[in-house]
Amino acid sequence: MSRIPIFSSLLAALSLLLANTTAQPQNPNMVSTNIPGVFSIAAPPQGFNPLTAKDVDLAYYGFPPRPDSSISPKGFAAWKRVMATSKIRITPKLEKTDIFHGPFNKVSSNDKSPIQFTPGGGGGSTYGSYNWSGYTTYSASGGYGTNASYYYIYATFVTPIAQQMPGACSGTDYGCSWVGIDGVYAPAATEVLQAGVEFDAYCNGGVTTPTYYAWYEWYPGAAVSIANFTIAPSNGIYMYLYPMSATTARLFMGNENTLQSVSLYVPAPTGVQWYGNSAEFITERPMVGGSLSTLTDYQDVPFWEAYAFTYSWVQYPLTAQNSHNILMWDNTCTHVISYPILIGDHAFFTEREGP
Amino acid sequence: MRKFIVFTILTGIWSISPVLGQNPVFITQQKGPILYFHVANDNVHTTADVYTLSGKRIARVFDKIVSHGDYSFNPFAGSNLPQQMYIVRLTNGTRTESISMMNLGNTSISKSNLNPNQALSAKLAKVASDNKVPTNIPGVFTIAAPPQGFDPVTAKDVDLAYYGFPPRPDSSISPKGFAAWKKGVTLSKTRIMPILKQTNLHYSPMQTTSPNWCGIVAEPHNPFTHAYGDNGCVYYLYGTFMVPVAQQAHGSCTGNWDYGASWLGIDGFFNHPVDLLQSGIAFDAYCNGGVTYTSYYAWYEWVPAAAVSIQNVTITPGDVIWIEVWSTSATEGNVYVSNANTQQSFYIDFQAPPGTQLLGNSAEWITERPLLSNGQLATLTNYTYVPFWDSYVWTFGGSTYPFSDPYGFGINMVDASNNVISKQGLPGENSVVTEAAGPALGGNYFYDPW
Repeated sequence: MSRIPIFSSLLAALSLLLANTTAQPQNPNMVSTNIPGVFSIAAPPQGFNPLTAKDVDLAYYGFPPRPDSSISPKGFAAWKRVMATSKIRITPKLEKTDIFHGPFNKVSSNDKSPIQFTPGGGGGSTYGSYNWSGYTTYSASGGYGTNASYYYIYATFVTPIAQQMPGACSGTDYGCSWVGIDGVYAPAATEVLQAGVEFDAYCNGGVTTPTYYAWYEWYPGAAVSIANFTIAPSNGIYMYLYPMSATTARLFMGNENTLQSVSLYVPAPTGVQWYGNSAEFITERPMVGGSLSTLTDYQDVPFWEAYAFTYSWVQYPLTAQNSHNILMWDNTCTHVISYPILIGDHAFFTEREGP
Repeated sequence: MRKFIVFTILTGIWSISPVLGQNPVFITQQKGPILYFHVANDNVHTTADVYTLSGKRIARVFDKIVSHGDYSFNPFAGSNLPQQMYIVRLTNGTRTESISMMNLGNTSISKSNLNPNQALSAKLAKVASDNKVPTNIPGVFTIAAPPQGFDPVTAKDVDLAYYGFPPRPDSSISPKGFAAWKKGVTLSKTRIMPILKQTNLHYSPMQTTSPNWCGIVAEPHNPFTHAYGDNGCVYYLYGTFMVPVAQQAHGSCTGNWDYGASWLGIDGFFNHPVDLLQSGIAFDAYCNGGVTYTSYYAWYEWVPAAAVSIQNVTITPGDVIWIEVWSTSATEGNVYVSNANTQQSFYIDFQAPPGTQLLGNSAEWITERPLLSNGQLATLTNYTYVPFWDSYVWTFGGSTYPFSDPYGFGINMVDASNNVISKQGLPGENSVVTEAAGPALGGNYFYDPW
């Protein structure tokens, strides 16, 4: 028994080495999913303790890297809790969707000049967007693997209730909250890697039917939902993203109410690479059928324990100059429909605003 | 009278000099330009007028409805009257007293016990009383919905009170605090006339260490040196939080109820006095045979009385709740609760239990396990997370203060074996996240990181 961890450590180390040199990562613990090229990681053996496990064993069993407690004690505490509560590792059933959670769709100065609505707070200037609200933090990445490139992002947030605006009842409204890498600044402005929770509200005849599910997406690919991962209102959700290689992302997500967790390898779309010059925490209205959807009346989504680390383990608070709060505007750029309010260095909430 | 004036001018001692009225009982003293008086009853219409020595009225210098307490003011502040002797006449209900005073010019008052917010709160209480409707519990009142088009953001203070809205904070002192209040009072489109039910649960003052509280306590400076209504005392607090999912500890299904609640309240932290005015949301979980049943409801309470639940307001997990708690006297409490998801709100006005008086030396945002009817602490619900945000406390002096030291005390909850079962974290100045931990979460079920 005592040899098994050593053996697995070696395998994990080997797999890490392989991962850096091959497009298709190899790990004996990987399990194929129903989508080619996407793999999940099976549960660790009974008694495996991620809090005391070696880094290579963590990686082998699909747990996210251990943050340096000396750099961020609170960030480390958040990770510890996730390690403890990610009790039930599920084998994901994936479903491709036709929903696109695109990159930052910026409101240009021609549309709205100047932007006068600045409730968000934070160190950097306020951005306007048609699809995003929340925070994005810039780092002067020189490309994948460079010191200033974002390597690791995670956050905790709570799933809101999905409903339509008071008095409204038509079709489906869409909304989601996620953490992500890239999607704001060139040369990574047209790609974005995301992991999030969808909260959509269909209404007909006065009856609202909400839909909640977890998903990942590497744009320009469409979102992929995880059909057997249970999400309900007020569930505490964590999302961890980090790369295996420039073209393979690792994803660890979980629900603290159900204890379910998922560990995934996700390949990049053709021609796309992890660049790492922005990390963001966002509530979004996606593109559906080629158009911006109507945003769910979600009230509030609190985010906390929101951390992003570069390869050199630098992390910027939301109050840093390179962190920007983002307001979401309606299609005609007349009203702000969702915006963030800063709570602290690593916490904020996004809030729905009429109409 | 002339002798008296000469005496006071010569000695420089400004003492009471009643010239009219029979019983000089409510003017207490005079120092320099400041006149002090005492009011024995609540909601007393009090005026002060300045007269010449020949009896000609010159100006009304004080006109307020005040509650019981000590007050002071400078009758000549801001006036351009010649610096000479005048008579100041106070009318307080049915009684009138006068005092001769020298106008010392525009003397600035460095510190005054006269508290505009306390006077205002008493006035507002009187206004609100005109629109109150009894509930099914004697002595407890509510207020019906305002008329169509009523805007609490721009309404006058008296109209806010008349329609059962909480007092408005000063936007110039805290724009974010004001924005949070604005959001809170505009959430609701449906005012509920509450149907109340007495429970036998006690959400109690904090026990030390603490076995019953988890969250954040914000306290004014010098919490032991204030009296109710002083500038530094808590006038009101508000905040937003999300209703959690109620479940039992992972790996547990006990055949009994677990209890938990998140609330906002005034007092209950410092041992003296042991009172606590509070309102919150309960989230209880029963489990039997692997099946969990849950109960969610809104309640209010004034310790040492037990909690009273509101029967006809819908609460479900994920609901975003806004609560404001305030006092209109040391024995009159008010709560306004709004559910952003259902757009329901209600207002309740209630009296302190006999012998209990509010002090206002702490404000808190707490997740608690209550005392059951047998006097035992309940088992805490596994609530996972309750995040509070947009949480502000305002004093009678009109200031607000953050959770950061030295004003804030973070409190974790422990079980009988001193295991932490609920932890708090402070992500920022006006926010606290409480989370179930250890045995309450199912610590034995995990690789316990606590």
